[in-house]
Amino acid sequence: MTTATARKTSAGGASGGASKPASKPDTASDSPAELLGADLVVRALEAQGVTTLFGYPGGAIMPIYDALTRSNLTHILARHEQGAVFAAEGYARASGKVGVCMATSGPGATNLITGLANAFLDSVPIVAVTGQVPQAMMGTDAFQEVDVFGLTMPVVKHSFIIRDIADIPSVFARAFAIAREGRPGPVLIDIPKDITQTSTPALALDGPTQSNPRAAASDHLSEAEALLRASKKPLLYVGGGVRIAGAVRALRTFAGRCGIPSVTTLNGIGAIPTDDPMHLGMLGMHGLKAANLAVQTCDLLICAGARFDDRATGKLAEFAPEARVIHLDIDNAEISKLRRADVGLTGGLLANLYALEPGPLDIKEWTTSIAALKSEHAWRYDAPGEGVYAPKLLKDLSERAGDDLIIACDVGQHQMWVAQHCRFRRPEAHLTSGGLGAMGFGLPAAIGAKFARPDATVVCVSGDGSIMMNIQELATLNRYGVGVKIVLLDNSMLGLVRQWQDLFFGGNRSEVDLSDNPDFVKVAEAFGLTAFAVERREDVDAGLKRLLATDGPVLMHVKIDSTENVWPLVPPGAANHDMMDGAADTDGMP
Amino acid sequence: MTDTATDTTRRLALTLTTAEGALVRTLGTIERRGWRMSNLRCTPIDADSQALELDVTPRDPSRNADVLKRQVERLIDVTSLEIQNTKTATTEPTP
Repeated sequence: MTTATARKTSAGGASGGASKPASKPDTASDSPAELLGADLVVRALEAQGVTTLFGYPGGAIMPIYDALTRSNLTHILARHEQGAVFAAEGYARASGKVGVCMATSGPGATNLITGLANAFLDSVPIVAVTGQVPQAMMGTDAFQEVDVFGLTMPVVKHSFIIRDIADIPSVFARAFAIAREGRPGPVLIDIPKDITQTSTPALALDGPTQSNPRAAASDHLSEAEALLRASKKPLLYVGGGVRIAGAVRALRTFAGRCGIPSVTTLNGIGAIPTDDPMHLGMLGMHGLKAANLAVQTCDLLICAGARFDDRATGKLAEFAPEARVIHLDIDNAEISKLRRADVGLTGGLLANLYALEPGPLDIKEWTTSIAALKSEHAWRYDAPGEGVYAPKLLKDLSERAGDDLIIACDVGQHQMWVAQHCRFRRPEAHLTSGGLGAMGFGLPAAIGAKFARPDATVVCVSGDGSIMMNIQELATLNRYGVGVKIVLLDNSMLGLVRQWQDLFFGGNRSEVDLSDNPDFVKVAEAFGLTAFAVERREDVDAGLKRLLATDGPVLMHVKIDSTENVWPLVPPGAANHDMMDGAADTDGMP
Repeated sequence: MTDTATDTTRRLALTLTTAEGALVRTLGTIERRGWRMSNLRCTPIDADSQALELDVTPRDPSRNADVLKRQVERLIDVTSLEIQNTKTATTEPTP
């Protein structure tokens, strides 16, 4: 294992490059006749191409942590298991590889669950390895025994308990294949301690497999092409599945060849460059007005790798009311789950997008109206007041940082502002907790992304509520000198909850006041980070410049107006064309 | 079929592996997707597979049995699934 305690090792720290112990313990050789189960586990990880994993040790997984010191794996010690699993997700999303995390039994394992649920809902390929009490003690309420296999069943794609040391190679090979192939997702491997402490003759280990999903049946493709040719107002509705399938180029080729305008989901942002003239931005609850209006008036919706999530559709019965639907998805179970598809194209998105060739479309009138719609509802950044206007700051940040920027968001108002206002040209550049909406995702996800892409500019955009959910990971930043740049937008409030209380609960503000927040600059400095504050609008430019120029981990604390809202907003239960859009909707509100 | 069966009750016939958790995972998926279960019968086929038959009734009548079929089919431990003995209406075909 590469040394975990060496500061500034491999993720953008000053010195760079992971260091290794001077010599490995002599308890293992390269090809010993007998191996401990724990050593077989780390070798199985290596055989799958794993180089970096995130975790936290404890009793039941100690044999594996012991074996890690005899491996070439780089283990990143998070300061909470939730930090480890979110970091593995950030690593997976930024690298396109399977992310790996590790925890002990009992509380270590339960602390992974939020991250597993997040990976399940956003289809992120991760393998989580948990230690378990010895098999003889399972079912006896032993110390730190919890049925993590049972607890996590609803939030994993699959899971295993290893009952026989001889199964380690096949279980790991299957786990990685399941996590990666088809619709990706999290896989849990629970390993009782007696398995990792048992010896076995060396066993053959399988390397990673690869699958290339094929296109849908040709008659279905023909039906889709016929719908496209008949359409006068087609619209692409793009989700995270496009990025996952590696089909970004295929999507852009298809959209460009046909001239079809597009909208994206939260997780689809960047699949089409946000500044593309025929791209209208994110749809849904906090979607752009032009995007929602286009969806409501299109006559054909081509849904690519999205799942008609309620935050995207609003009132489902009134979503895209005039549209027929072509639904492309690797997951057959998503077709017609919520909105009936006129044509379902299962199989590989990449293959299907390249296979669709409807020929020239007669949609000039539609694209002209789309351009007008986009122009009519363009963002304005001339906000009144003298305080820092977060949307403008985020827009400037994304434009100033260049195309090798990765933004990992937390959850709340700032998350929506990032989705609305930042410029993205790659979907891998936008890491967000979409399906689960898990506060605390941003910082550890940024750490994972920086380990995956050390040369990228990785920024965590967080809020004063979210940052406190995993603030202990500032210690991880410092420990490894991870060059993550944190923009902390502080409104001393749980802003999105406050906004909803103001709008939908008669202004009854219940438990949203965070004015007793700590001094975040001092907190960051106490963890060893560079930190500074920006409080005035005229200081934003200098602040961004300093943020981007600072080597190593840095936090920029930005005080923003606690009454600022996210607009537009589709109220819960309303159709997407019923958007509230600001001052006119808040008359009389506190 | 018991008297709890309704027009929307369907009979599922599955083949599962005998992997640890296969049965619980399958039943849990059906329940979480909004279906009540009754008349369950699980019988071994051989060392590696088992047969499961059960009736399912949606808690919300808008739930589509064909969608449930595809949600269960994607479980790693489910090797086959057929919808049998539908009481009245047929299931909607996959587009």
